[in-house]
Amino acid sequence: MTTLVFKRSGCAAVRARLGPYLDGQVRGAKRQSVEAHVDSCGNCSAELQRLRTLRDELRRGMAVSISHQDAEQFWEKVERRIEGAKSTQQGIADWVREAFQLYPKFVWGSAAALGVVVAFVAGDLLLRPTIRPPATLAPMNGAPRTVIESVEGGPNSSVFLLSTPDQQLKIIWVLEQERS
Amino acid sequence: MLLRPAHPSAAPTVALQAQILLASNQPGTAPDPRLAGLVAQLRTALPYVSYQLLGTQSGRTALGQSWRTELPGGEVPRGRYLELTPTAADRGAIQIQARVVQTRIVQGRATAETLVNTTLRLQSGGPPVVIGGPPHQSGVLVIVISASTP
Amino acid sequence: MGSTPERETADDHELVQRTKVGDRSAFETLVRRYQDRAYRVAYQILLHREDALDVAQEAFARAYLSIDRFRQSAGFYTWLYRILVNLAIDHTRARVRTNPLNSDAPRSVAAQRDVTGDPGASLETKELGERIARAVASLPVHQRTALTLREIQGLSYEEIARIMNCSIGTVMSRLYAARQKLQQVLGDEARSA
Repeated sequence: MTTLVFKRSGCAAVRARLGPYLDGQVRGAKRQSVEAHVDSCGNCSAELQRLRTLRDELRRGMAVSISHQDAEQFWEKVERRIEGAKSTQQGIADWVREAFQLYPKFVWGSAAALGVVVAFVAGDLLLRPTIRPPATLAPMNGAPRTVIESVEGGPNSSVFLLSTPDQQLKIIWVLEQERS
Repeated sequence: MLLRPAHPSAAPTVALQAQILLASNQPGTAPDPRLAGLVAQLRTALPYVSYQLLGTQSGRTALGQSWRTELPGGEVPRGRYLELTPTAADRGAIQIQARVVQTRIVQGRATAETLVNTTLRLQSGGPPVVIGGPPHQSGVLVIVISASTP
Repeated sequence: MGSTPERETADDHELVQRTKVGDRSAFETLVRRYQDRAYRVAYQILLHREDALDVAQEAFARAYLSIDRFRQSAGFYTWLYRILVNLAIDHTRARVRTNPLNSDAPRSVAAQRDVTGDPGASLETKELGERIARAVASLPVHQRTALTLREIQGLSYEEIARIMNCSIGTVMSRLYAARQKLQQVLGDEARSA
């Protein structure tokens, strides 16, 4: 049981406790103390009554319900989202696999010039090792380009590198892994 | 020629921008006109038909200093962010370390986990780089990062 | 014969276990059990019927897809509500960016209220409901969320803290501030009526 700690005294302290008291969160000696004070203090007693009235009004006023029609269709729509998410995940996996089959090497002009080596584990679509650049960096000549010098995933994520067919846009894709 | 490394006394600043998109296959979503060219490019590479701009965050920071912007979604409210740290700049080329971090609840405790950590080299005002994949609502986040120096 | 909270929790545990081994009908039972409550929470945060349905359905779908990550130390509904509240609060931010005026409150909140009782009381109840709806809609989203979880769902401060990923002290502050604001707003309305 969590003990709520209050630091003020007198009416101010009791007022601060009235909400938690009404919510059943004040117990034991502190509860008795609040009750004893409220019994003898007209102001705090009135404040408690106002909070009770507010609570009752809120419960009536906030009582929205799902319509019958929405309720009937609810599960079907949840299921559709589940299926949609699963097919998107499968779609990405299939699409990446296909991309790797079509483009077995990712050759980016600047990266190749820098001598960066991208390592693939056979049959594994996801890039695990960290790529680090060499100590010196060649200048970027010619048309403005983006270079991904190094990339690594996290403890529960893997990354793979993509590009638009015209090589103008470099994309780092993060896939969070399902934890067991 | 080497890129000049960050040095406190030099203090050039780098302007950073992150456009945060939601990519999905939700039917019936009207195309966002602000993204026309970018979406056309993304569609050639990613299997999503709908791209919605959630927000554009901009900032300016000195070399060696980090700039962070919150990203939507994740297990914990306000627990996901993008952090960009420009580390070097020379003749229009900007080297930036980029991280996407999110907070997870592991055995009842909030733990920050890196999703991706990457070192990029962008041309000032040139093509952006994209980081995508973190799930959000019915799709995934796509973050378009660009930078420029004065 | 109704189910007690204790029985429901035990049932939930078994249903979650069955879901984990691929029994989709077990998850359907969980959805049907909690869909009304989930909708109410989402609605009070978003104040928009379609958004609330959207977010509630998304929360269940997310829960299903990540059911393997669910640890039985907390109840299923606490875990579900955490996903739901996160989604709903994210949605309020995205909605403000794209369409600041997208809200039903307060008119359709009143229309959606479950008004029961005799015809004589219903007009007064309806007016009160609209005043309450306006007042609740004016609260900041985190205060409105805490109030919903406490007053409508009857959750303890500990459960609310776990769902909103904040301390119990923060839960208390949000409830206190929400109640003060509502008393003030409703008091002002009553005086000007």
